[in-house]
Order: sequence, then C-alpha cells, then structure tokens
Amino acid sequence: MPGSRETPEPALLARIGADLGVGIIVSDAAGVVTWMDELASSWFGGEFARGRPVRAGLERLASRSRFVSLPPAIVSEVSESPPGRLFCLRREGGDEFYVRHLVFPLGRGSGEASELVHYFIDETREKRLQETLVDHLQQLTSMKEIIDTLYDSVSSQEVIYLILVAVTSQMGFGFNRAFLLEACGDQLRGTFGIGPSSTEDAHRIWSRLAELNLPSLRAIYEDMAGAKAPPDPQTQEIASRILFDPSDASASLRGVIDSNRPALVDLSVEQAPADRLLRDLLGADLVAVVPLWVRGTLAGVLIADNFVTRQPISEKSLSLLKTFSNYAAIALERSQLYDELRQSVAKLQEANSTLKAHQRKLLRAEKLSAIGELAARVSHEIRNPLVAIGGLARSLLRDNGLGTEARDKVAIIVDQVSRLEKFLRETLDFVKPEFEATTVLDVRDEANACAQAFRAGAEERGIALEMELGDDPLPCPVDRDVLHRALANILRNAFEAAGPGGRVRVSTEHRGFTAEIRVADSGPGISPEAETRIFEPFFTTKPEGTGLGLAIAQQAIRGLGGQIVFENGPSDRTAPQASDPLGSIFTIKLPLDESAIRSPRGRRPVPTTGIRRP
Amino acid sequence: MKTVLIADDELAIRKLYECELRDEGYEVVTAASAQEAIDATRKQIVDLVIMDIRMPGMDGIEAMNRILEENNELPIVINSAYSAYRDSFMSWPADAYLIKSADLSELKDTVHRILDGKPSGIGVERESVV
Repeated sequence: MPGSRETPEPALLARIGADLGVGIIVSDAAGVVTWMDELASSWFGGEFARGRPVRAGLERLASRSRFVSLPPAIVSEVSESPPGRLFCLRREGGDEFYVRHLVFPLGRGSGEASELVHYFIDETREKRLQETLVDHLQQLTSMKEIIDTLYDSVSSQEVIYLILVAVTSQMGFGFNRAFLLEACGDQLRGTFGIGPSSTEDAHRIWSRLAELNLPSLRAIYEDMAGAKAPPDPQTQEIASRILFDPSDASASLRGVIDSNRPALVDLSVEQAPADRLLRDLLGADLVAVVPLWVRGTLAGVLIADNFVTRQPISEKSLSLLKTFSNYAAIALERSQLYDELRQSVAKLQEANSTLKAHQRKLLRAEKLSAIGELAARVSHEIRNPLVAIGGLARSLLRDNGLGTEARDKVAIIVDQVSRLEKFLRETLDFVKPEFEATTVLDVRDEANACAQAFRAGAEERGIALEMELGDDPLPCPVDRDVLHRALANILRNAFEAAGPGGRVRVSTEHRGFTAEIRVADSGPGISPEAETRIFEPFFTTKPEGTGLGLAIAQQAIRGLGGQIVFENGPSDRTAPQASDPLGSIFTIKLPLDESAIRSPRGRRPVPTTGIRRP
Repeated sequence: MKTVLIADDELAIRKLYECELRDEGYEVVTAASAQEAIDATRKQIVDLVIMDIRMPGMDGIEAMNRILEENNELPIVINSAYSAYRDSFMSWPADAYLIKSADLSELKDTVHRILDGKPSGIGVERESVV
C-alpha cells in the first residue's frame, strides 16, 4: 500500500517501482521511513516500517518468518560495490536472497537533502547466474586440467589410472570408488579399480591425501604409481573379478551402456546375471555407469559409486561425467593406439634384425652353394673326358697286340688319369653341404612341436589347426634346428595364407624311402605367374613379406637331402586327401633312416655299391 | 644274353662303356638322352640300365623314376660324374650309385653282381693298375 504521507512525486515513484520491479522507500534525511511502495511493503511490512529507520526495516526483513532469524549474519553486507550496497539475506532452508540498496537524495533547491529515496532491487537471479557462471568456469578449468593431464599421458596404464583418479579425487568428480571395465570381444572385463574398500580404509587414504595436499591430478597419480603395491589392493581385486557379457545385463544397465549416456543404475531392481554379479562384487546398489564409446565402438565402461559415504549422486556430477567420458574415451583409445604403435615398432625392429640375420645367412648359403655348384661343374666337366681317356687307355692296355714300348706309354696315360681322378675325389667331391644331418629324429614329433608353437597365435586369429600324425614312426637323419627353421617358415606361410577363419592341416606320412610332412592351408592358393617363383629369395606376394621364408625353408630341406614340393589348389594334387583344405599344399620330403625304409617295390639301395645315406 | 642299356649324353663315354661291356659278354644298347633311354626300355627288353644324371633336358633321376613306374623290377645303376646326388634320397630307388671313373672295374662288378649274381673276374686287373 502506498505511503500515507505526502511525497513529492508519489504517483511517479510508484510507477517507476512497478515498471522496474524495484521496491521504493522514501525517508527523511535521518533515514526514517515516510513512504514505501507496494513491493517494499511486501518485503518490509508497510505498517511496521513506517516511522522507523530503514536499517530497522532491513532487520525486520530478516526477522520475518520467511527468513531465518539471526543477528548480523542474516543481513550481511555483501559488497560496497557501487552503485549502492548489496545485501544477502538468507531464507529458511538456506536459500539466499540478494538485494541491492541504492539511495538518492531528493533536493528541494536549498542544497541540503530533505528526503531520501531508497531503491531496493532484487538481484538474486543475477547473483545466481553469476554464481552459476563462476561455477561453470571452475568446472571447465578443472575439466581442462584433467583433460590436459590425460592428453599428456601416452601409456594406456597411465591414462586408465588418471581417469580413475579424476573420477575419485576431490579435484575431479569426488566419487568414492571407480572401476574401469574394458571391452574384450563381447565381454566387459574389469581391469582397474581404485578407492577405499571400507570406512577405515577411506579415513586412512583420505587423511593421507589431505596431509600430502597434492597440487594436481598428475601429482596424485605419480604418488600412486610411485608406491610399490597397487593403490587399493582390495578394490583392485574386486575389479579383476568383474567379467560379464553386456547381453546378460538388465534392460536398464544395457540401455545405459548402449545409449552412451551416463546414468545411475540401481543394480537391485532387475535380477539379471550381470547386475547380480556387479552388486555382489561391489556391495552397492546404486552406481553411476559411464559408457566410453569411441567412433561407434564401445571401448569400455566406467563405474563409480559412493560406497563409503553413501552420498547421493547428483544429476550435476553425472552430467559432468558425461562430458568427461567423451574425452576419457578418446584418451583411452589414443593411449591404446600408442601402445599398439609401440608394439608394432618393436615388432618391425625385430623383423628387421631377423631379416638382416636371414640375409647374412642367405648370402653365406649362396656363397656355399655357388662353391658347391662350381665344384660339381668342374668335377663333371673334367671327369667325363678323363673317364673316356683313361677308360680307353685301359682297354688299349689289355690289347695283347700292343708292343712293350707302346704299352709303357699307355700305362703312363692310365697312371696320370688315375692321378687326376684321385685329385678330383679328394678335393671337389668333398665340398661339404651347409647343413649336416646329425641326429635321427622322429619328424612327427618335430612337426608336432613346430605346429603347436603356432597354435596359440593361430587360435587368437581364429585359424583352426588340425594335426594328423600317422601311426608309423618317421625317423630321419636331420639337424633339428635346420628342420625347425624350414617347418616354421612353411607353417607361417600357411597361417598367413589361411587368414582369420581359415584352417591349416598338418599331416605326416611314410612313403617308401621318404617321410612326408604335408602342410595344407585353406587360403586362396598362388597365382600361376607367382607359382614358379615362390622359392626364389625376396619373392613375395605379401606386402609385409620378406620373401625369404620359403627360400630359407627350401634351402634348409635341400641341405638335409630332401625337397619341398608345392601343389597349388585341388587341381594340382598328386595324392589328393579329402580332408585337406583347398588352398596350397607344401610337402616336405625327407630321406628316412635306413631302419624305417620300406619299399613297396621291394627295392632297397644296394649297401655295398656306393649308396651312402646322408 | 643279357642286355645293358647305357644312357649318357657323352659319345666318348657311350663308346667306352659299349666296348667294355661287350667284352664282358653283354648285349649293349645306348641312349644319348633321358628320353631316349625311356623309349629304349619301352621298345625292347633291357636287363639293366646304366644311367647318367646330368643330361640335356630331362635328368637321369627323373628318367629312372619314370622307368621304374613302368617296370619296377628293372635294375638301374646310376653312374654320374657328380658326387652331389649320391647323398640325396632322390637317387635311393637306384640299385647302385657309382661315380664315373676311368677304372671300370667297380661298374663291371656291379653289373655282374646284379645280372649274374657274382662278381666278374677283373678285380685283379683293377688292383694292378690303380
């Protein structure tokens, strides 16, 4: 109700007040209220305030039922910032109410103010907005710090720990515990967990952290990483036992994971196996579930709860987690890529050094084989004429018609030829091959050992390995290392050709004089152009191939007195077997030890006439 | 009379072996290549083959395998200037592996043993010469 006392422009003031939404009070020069508009009346109580100082009105304002009645704290002057003064009034329930007080003197020409006009402006909304802005700015700043820290980290273990530290530390989101589940195929597997496992534990950890007063997330991480034991062994233990298929989760849990929208999930509501597992392991019903998606792929899931303090999880912290999760997922992916890159580099370095070693060996083998080849040629080219000369001379010698003098001359020819032949026998025939067959081994065992070494890697890539080792022992004189080198190269080639989802079949067979190891793959075979060149050094059809594998294998097997036969696809088969995959087949043929030779033709080498087994 | 087939691309060698084996009392036919040797075993009855390894075109090992596919009882003696194949299992189906020598006594011994089941009587000569 407008004031009863006459004011200079009461109607005007009332209109200004109504238009601006401000409360207006007019007082005399001493501050005693003489008039107030409707809004001011509703705040200060028109009847009470009139005739009293404005200050008392403010106190009255504070003591009214809708304000908590307290002395100075109630009406606290917030700022002297012009214009006027800002008061903060605390309502019941802790609600705050901000009011700006502006005073203007009303002069009456004499220069001395006879009256004062007090404007009371409700600035609660502005103040709230400002607070929200400051709040957001703080969140952005701390989010930026978290993200900067994440992006400065390259190892995935470091990133994972930092994510969990960010979720649990007061500098971050302040949850009690956090668990990271990583996607492994169709399953989610708990990899890390941090946070106290009991109230006592919490007290110990939190007071230690408070004492240390670590300045940044990284400092907290470094403190944690510096410790020898895992930071929270029991929580880590819980994490390591989490393993479930999201399809076993309740509709609500699955919904959160699939929707990429962090939310609270009550694990006790729906009785799905995954929910039950989590609830039993975590010992909590209400958890924040934060899916981590990167480019349409689920990289993992973050689970956070307030296991110790049982504080409710607010919408605000969930929404912050949502923002954070996007960056966390990217950081996680980035670090995993970096790890992969590092592994690839290491593999490449290893491949490079293997390649160099192979090149050296190949070069040596080539030199040896060049010497061998030269020796053989010289031996052949000289021996043939010698045989003719010497043989014919001997036949002349047997001719009874030959005179004594001629016979002596021919005998010299025979003698000289024998000398040359002896030289050939003693030198060129004994150029050693590179490899020596040293031990008699059952090649079934060797084939099996080599193939098993590939099994784990093959299964990982979804390639089936089938073994069919015959019943007959296959003892062959070999050098184990050399045989393994050859087998490993043939097997590697087969697994690469078969590719994911394919199969490789290794079988052995006893065939007369030879032991056979067949390696068949379900790959696409080799083009006719490539077929003639597969054993050539440095020939390869694979972008990452060295082109040495098969060349090395062939050289090794030749060194053992055997050979490798290649069959390309089913049309090429000399002894087709129904169970063989339809790609390429490499058959390693090795001479059997004499003890195992069975010839279906009843043939055996004649032992006394120069056949020498390797 | 037993027939010996000599497969060798060197005329001088064929000539020498032919004379020497005739002297030993065998019928001799010759082939200048692996293919000729295979053809010869198809055309006529041969009791033993003396097979060189390195010949133009098909080599003696492959010719031996082909001949054995058709007649697995036919004795084959590998006779090569190479020693390299002697250690290779690829030559194992042969009845003997000899390295060519101007001294033919080992060859003659082998042929006699396989065809007549006894060594020839020329061992004395071999010892006196070498």
